[in-house]
Amino acid sequence: MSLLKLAKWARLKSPWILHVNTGACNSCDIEVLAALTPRFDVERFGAILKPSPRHADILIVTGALTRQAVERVKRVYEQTPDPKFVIAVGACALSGGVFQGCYGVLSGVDKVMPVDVYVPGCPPRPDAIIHGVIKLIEKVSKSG
Amino acid sequence: MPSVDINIGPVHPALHEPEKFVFKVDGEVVVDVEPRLGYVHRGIEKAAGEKTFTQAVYLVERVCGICNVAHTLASVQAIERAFEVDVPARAKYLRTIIHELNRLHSHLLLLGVACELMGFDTLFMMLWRDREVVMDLMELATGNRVMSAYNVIGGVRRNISDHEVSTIRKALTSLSEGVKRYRKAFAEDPTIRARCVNVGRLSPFKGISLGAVGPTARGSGINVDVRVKEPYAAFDEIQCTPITYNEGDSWARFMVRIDELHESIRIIDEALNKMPRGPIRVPVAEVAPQTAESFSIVEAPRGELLHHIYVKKGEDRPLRYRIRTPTYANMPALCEMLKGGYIADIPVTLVSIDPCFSCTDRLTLIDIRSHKRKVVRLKSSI
Amino acid sequence: MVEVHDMIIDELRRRLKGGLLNWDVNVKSMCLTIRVDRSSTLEAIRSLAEISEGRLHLTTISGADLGGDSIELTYFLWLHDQEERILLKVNLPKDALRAQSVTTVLPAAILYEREVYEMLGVVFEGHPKLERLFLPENWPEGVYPLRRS
Ligand code: SF4
Repeated sequence: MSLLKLAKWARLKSPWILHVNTGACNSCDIEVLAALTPRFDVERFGAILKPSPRHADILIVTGALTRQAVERVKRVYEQTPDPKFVIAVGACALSGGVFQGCYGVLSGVDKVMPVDVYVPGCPPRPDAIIHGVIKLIEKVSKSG
Repeated sequence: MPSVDINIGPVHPALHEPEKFVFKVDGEVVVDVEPRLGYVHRGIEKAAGEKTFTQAVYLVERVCGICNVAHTLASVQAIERAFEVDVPARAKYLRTIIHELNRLHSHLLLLGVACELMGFDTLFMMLWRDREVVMDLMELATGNRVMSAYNVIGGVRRNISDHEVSTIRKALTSLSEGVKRYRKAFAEDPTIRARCVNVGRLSPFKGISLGAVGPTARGSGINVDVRVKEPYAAFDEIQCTPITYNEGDSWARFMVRIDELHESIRIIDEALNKMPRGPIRVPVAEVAPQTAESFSIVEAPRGELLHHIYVKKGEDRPLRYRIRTPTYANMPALCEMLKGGYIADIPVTLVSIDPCFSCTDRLTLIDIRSHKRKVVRLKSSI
Repeated sequence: MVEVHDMIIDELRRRLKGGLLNWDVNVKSMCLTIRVDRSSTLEAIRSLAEISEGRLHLTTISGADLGGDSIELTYFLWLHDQEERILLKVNLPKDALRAQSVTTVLPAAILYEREVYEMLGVVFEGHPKLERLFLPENWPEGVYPLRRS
């Protein structure tokens, strides 16, 4: 039990993030990246971007979910160890955005995985993305 | 020596400029490269033909979020030409200013990513910190950091006030100091030079015959720049010089971009000085007044960008919408650069043409004898 | 400006003879639009390449199905030496979608021809590797996304 508590404490203090692009136009991605750079500096909350799903606690998903990406995204989600959380960033990840109705695109990542926090915007500002991360941390700390 | 195929990808599944490469390597040397485009077809060209003209502008803005201003500019210019609309002079200047701000942001972004890839994280962070200055100006002038939605058919959406003009001037003066420092670093730093000089060479002859565009072509001494050769917006009244380097390697391509930062700052300054007063937008019909074909070519941050449309009298949507993006045009030239180089040089060569950078994140090695796949981070392969 | 256009047209008329169908200069963009017969495509490109001493840039090949019974190909060309933009147009009847590949003169056409092939079904004769470029592998044969029918 206490070990679990320790794990939760660590997770709250230093959530590791994987950024998954399911078909974004790049703007959301550069804003996620910008959140890491000196002006916004998400690392001051202990959050750090990781390249592998196996290390991640939080998946930040951007982009309209393209048909070709579905399987890959599902696999990434499965590879992420429990407990895992998903933040959908940008209008595309929320609903398909402008690409709704394009033949290569499904609308919204919540069609294939549960989403904890939605960050709207096209693209959302880096501060909004950080706000999403903080909201998620609050949510997790309140949960049992 | 086991012969190995290396896959570079996985592409971002929705980039319109998908980049997946299969490399044939002999030991450490790349002998052949084949691009496998394809994961990424969102069908934007078809979708653009199904939207009204106004909607199409917003859709093509999202072809690539980084050079979105170039896309909307080419789009509205093509539509205006087909509709035979004349845009007010002030709008042309405002378009030019935002276009160049967009170039500043894109070049700073790319240079930062290149530094990160070379393991020079300090410079990466510094470049991105200064890039925020440009983002602030974008927000000031257009209301948004990235997706500006600034160009509309018939003009621009917002004016720039005199007060904002002085803010822009001040910010750019300080940015230009920073750019001087970065130029020195790129020109002289031994680490950067060791990673870039003589890496990914492209001869001018090959560059032309393979259709290279933008800084990729200019890094090989090819004197092309749409702003100068086929002036659009306010470029017929603003002086602009193509920046070329003759070395033809990755270093030259980075240097072209750094010098273009200075050039863009100068262009914005000149445009702010010369900008006439007057209206910023004229009303435009929603349906095409005549059947016509038109195109517009602009110098996007990555090079020549073409939008080509057919419109039919009385219709509110384009009959055919064709987009040719610069990275796509640079693909054959990129393959040529990679041939004969080392595996370890792939990442630097790749970013030196400024592809959509997220694609360069990792690569898959395939041993064709055992058909074993191994996915590695691009960075750890360096 | 105008002399250059005359020179180019004279040269094309000499080399293509009846293959040169018509030409005109767009007043607004001042660029020369040339229409040639499809059997003269390669020769036209070759002539232009010689006029610009090999410094001929192919911006792209753009194919359009406008609903009639033919498909229109537009070659956007840039002559470096003359600093001229030229649009070369070729019409292909829909019942015989065959065009000459220009890859021998302009290697830049390799990807563009593949794209037109996959989007509109135009077969480029003499292309080294006419395969699909963008569409997924399971895309059905004979379905061309940008064709109207
Ligand atoms: S939400 Fe907007 S900015 Fe983000 S990927 Fe989609 S189109 Fe691009």
